[in-house]
Amino acid sequence: MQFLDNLALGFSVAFHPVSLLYCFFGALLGTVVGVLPGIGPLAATAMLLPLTFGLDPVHSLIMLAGIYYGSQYGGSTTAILVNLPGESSSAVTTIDGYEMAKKGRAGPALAAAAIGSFFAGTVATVLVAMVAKPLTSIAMSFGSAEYFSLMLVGLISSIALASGSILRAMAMICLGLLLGLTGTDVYTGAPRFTYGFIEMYDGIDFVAIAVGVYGLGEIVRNLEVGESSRRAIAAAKNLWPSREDLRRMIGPAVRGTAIGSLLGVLPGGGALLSSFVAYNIEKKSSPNSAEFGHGAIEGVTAPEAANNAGAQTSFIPMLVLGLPSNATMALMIGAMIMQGLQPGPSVITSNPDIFWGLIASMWIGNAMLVFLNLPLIGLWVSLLRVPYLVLFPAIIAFSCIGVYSVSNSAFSVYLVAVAGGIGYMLMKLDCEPAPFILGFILGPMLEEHLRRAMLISNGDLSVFVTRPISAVLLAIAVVTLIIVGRPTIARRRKEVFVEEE
Amino acid sequence: MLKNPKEGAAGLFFAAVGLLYGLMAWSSLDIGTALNMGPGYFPIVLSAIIFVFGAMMMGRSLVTPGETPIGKVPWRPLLLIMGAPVVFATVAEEIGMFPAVFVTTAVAAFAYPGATVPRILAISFGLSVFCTLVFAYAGRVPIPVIGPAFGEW
Repeated sequence: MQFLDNLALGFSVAFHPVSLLYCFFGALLGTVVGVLPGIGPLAATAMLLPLTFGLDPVHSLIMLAGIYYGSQYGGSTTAILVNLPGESSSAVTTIDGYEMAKKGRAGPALAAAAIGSFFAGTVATVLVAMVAKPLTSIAMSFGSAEYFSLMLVGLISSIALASGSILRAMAMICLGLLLGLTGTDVYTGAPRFTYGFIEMYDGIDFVAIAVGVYGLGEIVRNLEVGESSRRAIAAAKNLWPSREDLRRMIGPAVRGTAIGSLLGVLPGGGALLSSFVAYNIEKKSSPNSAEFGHGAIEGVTAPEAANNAGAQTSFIPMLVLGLPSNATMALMIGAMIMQGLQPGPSVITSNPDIFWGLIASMWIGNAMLVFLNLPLIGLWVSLLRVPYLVLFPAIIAFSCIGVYSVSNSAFSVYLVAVAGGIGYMLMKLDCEPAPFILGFILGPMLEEHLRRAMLISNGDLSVFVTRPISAVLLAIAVVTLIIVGRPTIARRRKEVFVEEE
Repeated sequence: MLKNPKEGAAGLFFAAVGLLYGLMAWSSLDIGTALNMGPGYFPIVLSAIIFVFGAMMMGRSLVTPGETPIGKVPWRPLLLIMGAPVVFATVAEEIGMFPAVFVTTAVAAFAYPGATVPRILAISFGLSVFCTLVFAYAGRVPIPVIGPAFGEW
């Protein structure tokens, strides 16, 4: 049982009082920012990133992990109490969570989300610890062709995240890939698409794009809809679920965990996908399916468990392959590189304390959220009562300062405005940003592996299908494309997204 | 005639971007060969795909009727919210964190329908104090509290 030794090493790092403190602060701050309407984990992590710069690598990553979970959790809280998903992965939680809150059962709904997440987090942590080591040895055999095909799978599965037409989603992916190439070409040193700005020689600042599209774009959308959409906050009294509630939570929590753990590994926003899938499976299979949409506790537990398990296992591709499975992970990779760590299969051998410490602190972060989120409900509710007129200028100020301090230049702050404006217009045309963001992150890596694979194979394209792992991955990509393209699925995606609004 | 304005506009956008980036790559970057790709190879391929997708959307917008109209563009919030970071980026280094946050948040707050000037000023003042304390003193963000534009303090 070598993984137990490894976990023990991890917990010895993560249970160090200083680590616990940073994990706590990360989770607290993440929740505070995540509770604010319209700010998901991505924008929250981007805004709070500067706070971790002064720390050593272990603690900065532990704190970032805390921020990530905290903001994800904060999103669920807003989803249940005010029917506003802070991020897309808690969108399904609003369906039954807010219904429960309207019936005065906000307490049990929040507890169901917390307990479901905690259960999922525990299982997924053990899972990550068990499979990480064997997977790194598989990852060692990955060549450029395999990396390329794997990224293709991720990009194509991200189409499922967008509600608009597949054509538009694919165009957004390609646009993201293209803009991701901005900057100096690694092979020849030629500057590409920099419009003559020296600041763009290192590429377009990802944090600026994330903040512009998800932070500022969301504010414009909220102002457009008007205050009326911010409905009354349901009071949260009587926190604990009844015994009957608990019994009904077991099945959905287990199934949600399984779905989330599987889909989370997929590069391409597995967490979001898994919460939709988990909700729909429960809705179909539950004996209480009539109650769904009117405050079924299963409809809160399953997606929250899936979401959290997915958030956990999405660390696998990042730690093992150095591939971000979603935009927040890309930020984490950026933070690792800033700390002088090169993410990839070697981290596990070169920095075992960081690797296992991070895995252990995932679990601790989860546990902390249960103790943080539930007793502090009063605080979150009062945060939600802050008038929007105070809130959105504050978000803008934080974003500007945060982006400025990450890049240490005013140029990125201008980019926020440009990205926000273009992003908003595209959203108006039903072009969703999620596939774009993933393309943007993967663009440079996809190109590099394509070029390397072609060099090694002497320009022979068949290398992608003659290498077995690559061929399997490409087959998965094709099947995924066919599945998301089928009219029935397309219609269902639409329904799911309409329901959330 | 145009039956789906949303799809048509999106198609126009993608086709234009594909064309622009394709031309930029074509004129300034080395394409190379499939065996030894130059810096322009992948961008040209992507630009071409984007252009084709855009053209397909434009074609489709003439045939298939649209689900919903584009709707009105909320110019006032859009311009003010996107203008706020521009203001911050322009003045922050010169006038310093405290006044920059004040101006930035004031510009943003005007996007809110029906906000009165005294309220906006009060909120901006409060946020300036808060941000200065949190980011300039506790977070050590490298922007002076009061910038060089106000002379030596």
